[in-house]
Amino acid sequence: MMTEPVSPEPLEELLAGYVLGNLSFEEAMELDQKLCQNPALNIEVSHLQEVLTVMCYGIPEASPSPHLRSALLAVAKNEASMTIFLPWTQG
Amino acid sequence: MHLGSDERRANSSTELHCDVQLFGEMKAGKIEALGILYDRYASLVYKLALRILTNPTDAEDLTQEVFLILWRGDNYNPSRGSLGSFLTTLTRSRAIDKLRSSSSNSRFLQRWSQIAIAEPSPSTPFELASLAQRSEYVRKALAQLPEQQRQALAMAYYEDLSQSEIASLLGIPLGTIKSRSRQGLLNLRKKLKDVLE
Repeated sequence: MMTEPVSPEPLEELLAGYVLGNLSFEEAMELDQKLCQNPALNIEVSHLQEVLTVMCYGIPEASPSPHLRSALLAVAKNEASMTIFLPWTQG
Repeated sequence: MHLGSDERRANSSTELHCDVQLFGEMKAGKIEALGILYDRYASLVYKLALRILTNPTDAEDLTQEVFLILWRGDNYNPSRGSLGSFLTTLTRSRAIDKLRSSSSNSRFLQRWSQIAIAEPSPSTPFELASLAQRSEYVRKALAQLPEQQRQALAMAYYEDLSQSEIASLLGIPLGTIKSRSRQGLLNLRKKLKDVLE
């Protein structure tokens, strides 16, 4: 049984710092070692990454102008037709 | 077909289940599927682009670019995460690249572009919620954070500034800034745990 004391708070801070990209060199080395010893910590990392990813849902609403939709679809359609007719894309 | 806003909300949860199917149809060349995915996610992509780039024209250009990448490529793998996560990660990474190339300055945030997309479990309440509900979850959670943590977290995520630049901008020590953003992220996780995990 592992008896080494675990202090969760500094570890959590290191994981958060890793996800935010603000670890110092020493902290990065320390975390790297902990991640090697305990690969399950990668699950924690991915949870924190997800929290950061969903943060943008909290930005106040804003929408692009309506013409952007038709502009996008026109470009996409044009690209699709070019793909079909370019001779070097055929069989 | 145009749905009323109430009808749209009522259907949104069902609609969200269909992202993968729509993505498949889009990859098979159905432009209508791209249109529906755009209707669902354009606002999310645009507001993130605008938050980082601050200029509406640049944000629209980037929105178009992101959807064209989706249309063209094999970048998105549904088994690795939700379409929402893919689009926001791509948008953020591209937006920061643009800021960086315009200032021709290599920044610490470079490591961001290397971070893998989070892989949410598709059955979480968050993934099953409509986009409006997701925004509500995140806004409520952010509102519960201490202002200083929220500010440090937002600056770390949306702005192409190094931590030392943020510290000097706010006139506070670097260690404090780091600690606030980390605590902010950990707190935000606690607030969102029930819906995200």
